[in-house]
Amino acid sequence: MLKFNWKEKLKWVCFLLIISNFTFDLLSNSQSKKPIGSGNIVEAQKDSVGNIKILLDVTSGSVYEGVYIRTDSSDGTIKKLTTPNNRKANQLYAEVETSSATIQPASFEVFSTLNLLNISLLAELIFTFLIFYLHFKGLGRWWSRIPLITIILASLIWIVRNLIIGNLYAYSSFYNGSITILIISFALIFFFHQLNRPENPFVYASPEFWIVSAILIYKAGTFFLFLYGNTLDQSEKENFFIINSLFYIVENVLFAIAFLMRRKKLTTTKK
Amino acid sequence: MQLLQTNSSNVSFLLFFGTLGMLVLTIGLILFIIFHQRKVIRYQLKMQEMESEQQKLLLKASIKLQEEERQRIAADLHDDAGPLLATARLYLTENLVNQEKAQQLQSIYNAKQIIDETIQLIRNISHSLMPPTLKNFGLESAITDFFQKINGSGSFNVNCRFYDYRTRLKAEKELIVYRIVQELTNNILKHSNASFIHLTQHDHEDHMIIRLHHDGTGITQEDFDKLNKSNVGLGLKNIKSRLKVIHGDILFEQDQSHSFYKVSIEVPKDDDEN
Repeated sequence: MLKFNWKEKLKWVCFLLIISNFTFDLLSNSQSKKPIGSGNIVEAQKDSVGNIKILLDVTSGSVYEGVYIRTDSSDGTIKKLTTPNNRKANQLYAEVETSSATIQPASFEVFSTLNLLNISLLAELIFTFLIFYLHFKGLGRWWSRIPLITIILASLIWIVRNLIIGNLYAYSSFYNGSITILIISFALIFFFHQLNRPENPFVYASPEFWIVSAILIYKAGTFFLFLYGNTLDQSEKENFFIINSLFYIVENVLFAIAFLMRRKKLTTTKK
Repeated sequence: MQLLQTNSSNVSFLLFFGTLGMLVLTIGLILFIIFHQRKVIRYQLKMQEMESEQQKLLLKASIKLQEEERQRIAADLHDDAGPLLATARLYLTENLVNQEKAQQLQSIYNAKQIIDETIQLIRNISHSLMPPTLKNFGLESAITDFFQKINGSGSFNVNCRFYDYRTRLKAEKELIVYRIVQELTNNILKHSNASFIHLTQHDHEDHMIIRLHHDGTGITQEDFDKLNKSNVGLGLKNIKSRLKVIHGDILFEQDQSHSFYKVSIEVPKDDDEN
């Protein structure tokens, strides 16, 4: 029978984090090609500020705020949805942010992977804070409770926001930014503790150092991207998402180092 | 539209430099930790080396002291007991039976006196090795005894007061503490030109504290550490190595009025030992 101590559990949680990231990447890649809704643009008008307001006739699927809309001649992001008063039930007004000067009435398709992104962020936050929990467990009862409390609170907020209020297709920079700041803070606390442990001087010889470094580098590197990502237009988004891919590669390389590292009984070597 | 484009380029600018800044900070932090840890390791190794060096010095000092002690005992036996017994032997020759009765009695009396003297000498040697008062009656009596002997000379005033010595320490520990007090007292007598020594004992939590006050020229902790690291100060090194054995501590300090010197010995009590 396999016997794990908590440090090996740490590797297992990290492994689950990698698997969940990878699965959501694959799923969102396949979902990004399939429209989540389609229909026809009935009319389009430009308001005094320059925003384009279109009336959508949704024939299949659903349309949400924050989704990418595409017609044969133009594309953009739906910023706001309103239900018209004297129209049919499946008709909606949408304010669109687009680089095109106008949008012609035509058939449209909407695409979004934000639901998967939101679910993957929940999984990521749970696994990441579990990693911190497993590390802080050795430091005392209070330290270990903080990541657990964070998991519970953040998950509750996630459930309320995404399932009860129903914003699964909307991206919240505030929520994700806050979680990222929390993760970065925990990583800094981890490093601070490592510095204050003279009995374990070879910090870089332990897998948890590389796991936390990986998480810190990825989260710090993509912090601004996820904070301001939804203010960019579609082409810029595609350009800037290379940052995410690069940091994702760095993160996985560091995870690989952690996994390949054999845990040694650490003692101060003599000359 | 222009406003929108300026806004977008601002975001791109912020995003690019923000990400770069975060990356630099994170990598900087990780590198700092790695280098800091290396520095700590180097420092620890240096400390270990210094400690082993110090231990070597202490060991050398204790071996030297042991050798000196052996030489002293050898000298005492050879120079004092040897000639005394040889003289006694001279009185008790085979020729004794041919001598007159009065002369026989005189010879036997002389031999008896010499043997008594030898017994006293051997007793003194043995007492200096292990004072019987210490073994039988404990540290308090042994130190009181020792101080009484010094007081007997008349030129010096030594006194001691034990406040909390109800349960005796282990025999080996008592001997070590006694030796340390003996060594400190000898040092004060030899080097400090003091006119009095006052010893007090009290308990502090699970430690016993023995404090010696004197009005001579003493040393401070700094001097003690310096002497311990140098090649001189054999007695002080011995005090240190003895204290190490019983996990004790010593502190040399000068009184705030600068008129007295204090030496405090802190010894853990027996109950924390196996």
